[in-house]
Amino acid sequence: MKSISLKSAAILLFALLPLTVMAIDIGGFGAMIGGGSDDEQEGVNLDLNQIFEGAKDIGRTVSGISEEEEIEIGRNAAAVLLGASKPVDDVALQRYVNKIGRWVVSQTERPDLPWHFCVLDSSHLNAFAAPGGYVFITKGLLDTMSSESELAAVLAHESAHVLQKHHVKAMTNFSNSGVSGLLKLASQTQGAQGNFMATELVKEVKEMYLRGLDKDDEYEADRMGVIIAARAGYDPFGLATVLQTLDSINPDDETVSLLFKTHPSPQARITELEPVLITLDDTGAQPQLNNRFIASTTTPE
Amino acid sequence: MNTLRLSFIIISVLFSTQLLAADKLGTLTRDTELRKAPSKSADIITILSADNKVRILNRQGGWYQVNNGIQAGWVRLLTVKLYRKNTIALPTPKNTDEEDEDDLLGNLATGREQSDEVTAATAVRGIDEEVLQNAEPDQEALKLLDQYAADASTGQAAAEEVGLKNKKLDYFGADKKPTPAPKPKVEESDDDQGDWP
Repeated sequence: MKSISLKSAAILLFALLPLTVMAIDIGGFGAMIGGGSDDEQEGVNLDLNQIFEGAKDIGRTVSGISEEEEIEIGRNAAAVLLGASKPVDDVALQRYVNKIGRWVVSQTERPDLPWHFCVLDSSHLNAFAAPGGYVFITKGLLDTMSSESELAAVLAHESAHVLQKHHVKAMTNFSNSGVSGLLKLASQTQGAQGNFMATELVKEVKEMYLRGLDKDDEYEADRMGVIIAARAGYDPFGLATVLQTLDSINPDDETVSLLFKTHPSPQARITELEPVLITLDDTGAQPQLNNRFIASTTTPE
Repeated sequence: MNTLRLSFIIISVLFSTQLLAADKLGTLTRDTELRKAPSKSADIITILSADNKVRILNRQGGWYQVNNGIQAGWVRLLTVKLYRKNTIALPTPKNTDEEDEDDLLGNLATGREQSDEVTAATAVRGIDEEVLQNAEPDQEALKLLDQYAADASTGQAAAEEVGLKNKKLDYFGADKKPTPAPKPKVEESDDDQGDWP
């Protein structure tokens, strides 16, 4: 299989040329995860974690997916999600969430993707993203929130999945035909056929959302999400309070069935996030923005 | 915006703000300093032991203002585990049978009134495995998303409207390796119906 040979090549390259890998890591998108200053990056630690991060990044490089292809796969994935749940029919609410989302992603490394945010008309508690800049949050999850800082944090978490191409990684890791097959399927949905979407691609998208992302990718999105929210000027502890709310819900409750199946437990996520949050003590005085959130998300009947 | 809608929003905001963070209950998961202010340099009032039950009065950043029935002060947000049966501002159940209480668990304390209207508006089927499995791609709904989208300057304006200021901040890096957080000393017990402050 082509995907296997590509992965094997990556592993071989990685094994033979560790210094090259590190160079790519530093120069590429992976450097952002390390995030430190130049001084910090100069002291590259040749420890296992760093090397592992490097390996992950060369995996992405080998996948060779262009931004256009990423967006095309994302359009298809978004269409599947919208087939499961419609957007809430409230233009003012949708515009509000898009404004907040757009401000949040403007603080990231990919501000110019065609970002779309959408509130799904679902009583279940969940949020999703799709490659290329699609971010969804359910009305059910929105209804548990009491501040814009919580909304911003969840949108930031989802946008981190987009920044890091976690979904593309998840789909290619499990796809029978690898990234080339995925791209072929996505390209089949374009052109004269219009709304046609390859059955196989629909199946792979569904499987990805049902299986969930890699657990470590969820933790990474949490870590990045609080930083992005803090960059946008919000009190970054909003993600912690959302996780605390989720943690207080009976796991047997049907409204959290898919969320809990596809994510690490809220308590595990809180525990993983704590060391990051401790470093953000100074940003705790940044606003939560309760009033605008409630005014903008309360639908008069 | 008509006057009626505006009045509704104002009333909603006042009512919701009043309820915000009020009546949330939690349990301390570890021995915790109760401080006079939401700051690690604030004076320590006392040390509250793990499993103390607290009523959450307010939040600022990573701190909850709490009352344990004897004293009030500020504790680190992550030392508190929210009580699972935290069902404020809900319609009064017809009876207090355990089963009925369980039915209310989805309606958590959110600082919002859980009115019948809200329930009706959100009473659509959620996204569960079966719904997702049977979903047909909806290209028409995808087009709607273009109508909702905001450009960067619109996002910027929304931030300026409330005085949000962006700042430069690095991601949490590999050079700052996470140190394991203290393990919670107590597990939450769903059936604990003891006295709350």
